[in-house]
Amino acid sequence: MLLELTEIHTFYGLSHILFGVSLEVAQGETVCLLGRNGVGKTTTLRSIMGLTPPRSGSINIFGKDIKDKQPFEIARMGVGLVPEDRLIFPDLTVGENLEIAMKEKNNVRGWTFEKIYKLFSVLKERNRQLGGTLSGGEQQMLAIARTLMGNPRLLLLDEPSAGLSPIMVQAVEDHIHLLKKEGMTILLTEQNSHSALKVSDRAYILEKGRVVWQGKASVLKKNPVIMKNYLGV
Amino acid sequence: MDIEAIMGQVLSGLSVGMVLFLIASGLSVIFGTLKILNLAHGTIYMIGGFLCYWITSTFAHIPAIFWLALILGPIATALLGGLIEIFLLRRIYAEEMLYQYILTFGLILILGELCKLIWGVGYHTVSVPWPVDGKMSIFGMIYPVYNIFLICCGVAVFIGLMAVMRFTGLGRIIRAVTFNREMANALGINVPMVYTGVFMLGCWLAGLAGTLMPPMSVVALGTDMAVIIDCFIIVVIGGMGSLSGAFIGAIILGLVNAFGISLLPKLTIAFGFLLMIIILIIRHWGLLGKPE
Ligand SMILES: Nc1ncnc2c1ncn2[C@@H]1O[C@H](COP(=O)(O)OP(=O)(O)O)[C@@H](O)[C@H]1O
Ligand SMILES: [Mg+2]
Repeated sequence: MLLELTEIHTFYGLSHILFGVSLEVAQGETVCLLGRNGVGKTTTLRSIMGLTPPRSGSINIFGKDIKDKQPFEIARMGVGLVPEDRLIFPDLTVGENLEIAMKEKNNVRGWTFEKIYKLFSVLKERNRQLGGTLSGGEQQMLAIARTLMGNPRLLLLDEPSAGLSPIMVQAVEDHIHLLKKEGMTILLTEQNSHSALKVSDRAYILEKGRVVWQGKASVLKKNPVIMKNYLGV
Repeated sequence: MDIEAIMGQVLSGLSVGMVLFLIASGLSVIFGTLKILNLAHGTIYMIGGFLCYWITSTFAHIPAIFWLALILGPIATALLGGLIEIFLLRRIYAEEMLYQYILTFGLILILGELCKLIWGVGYHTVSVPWPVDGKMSIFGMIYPVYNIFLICCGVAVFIGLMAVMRFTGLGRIIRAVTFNREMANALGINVPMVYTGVFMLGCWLAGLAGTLMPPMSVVALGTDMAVIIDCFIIVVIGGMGSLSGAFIGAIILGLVNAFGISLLPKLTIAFGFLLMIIILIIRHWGLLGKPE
């Protein structure tokens, strides 16, 4: 398994958020983590990234235990996080936002400016504009592009379609499909299960910090009872 | 006051203001990036002063020793800053704000006592170094060259810092970490190292000011408190975390103090506070700061 969480318990200070979450993502798979607001989706991704390390349980990425590793070390192992609030650096230009995420001086392998600009043509036009001046959809594109500049082998997308217009949601979906085709391994979270299930191979449903359902995305799509019970849709 | 006296006050106000800028810019850069208000920043400045005195007096036989001190003093305070960040500050980033005040206040006491142990309680002076020890005339008026030299140093450091922040990869990394340390960290930027580096830069600036000041003033215990209060006033006026704000704030405070001394000597310290209160009332994020 490329990513393997075993019984992790994660806390913010004294509040216990994740109660023994286990999940796996295989090489090349796209897996989604569904659940209502506040069930612990973001916390799960933060645990993987090392931003909020679990207090117990283990996380293995590319076969290595990441215990005691700092986020930047995990990033350099090949993990990339696109946070739900995007966190584009507002006083850096679009180009600088991309450049700062490059881990090697020039990405000889993998993602280059050219490749990024080809995939996200809107960023090319806005290359010299400050990150803070982009629209919500453009910021989401930049957030994904910025993370790709680090050449991740595992991409963590936190609610990539949240707050976007239907057209932008479609654009994000298209990009996820393209990345999938490139062989990228993706773990994404979403409240909007329709959009997520379209791109995912498998799904996990979280409730109050616990995995309550897991299985194939195609099964979940055809099972409105589960969707209604856990997701309210 | 005649024009000559006024110009004299302007010049001395500006030169003190520029030294204050060096200190305040360090305080401000550290606060902007690490979100730590280092109460002991003035003490780092004071140590720079003691180092200047110690180096120039111990190795007085070496020609141009002041200039060597000007290089070594700030490096020494930067290294001290590195130790403080790695061994002390790192433990409290995740804790409440109160801890950083207790810790950095504790540092004022500990470092102050150490200075007392090493250099004693007396006053020390450092003579104005060659070739900036003479007087020069500008538009027919005579000024000490050292004051002009200090102003040039302040302006040069200001331009240098602005250029580093705006045009270099290092500056971009610092701006990114300042905006959001977690995002920068998750993108593969070694944030702990940036923290150490920025804290060392701030302490280097304080040490630079500390080494530059003695020829114009005295080296003594207690100078740290006077200076840290001035720095707080400056960053409140200019806006916390803003370099240009610290620059403008330092010029304003330098001038206000200089004219305060000549007009109402007994009320001098009141002027700075008054200015700070006015800013806090009408524009509490400072002249060039960003409102939250
Ligand atoms: N920094 C924090 N400190 C304390 N509690 C938090 C923090 N961030 C999130 N939480 C709590 O943790 C729970 C899970 O949050 P989160 O992982 O963001 O949920 P989701 O992403 O599924 O909406 C929520 O109850 C939230 O209130
Ligand atoms: Mg979330």
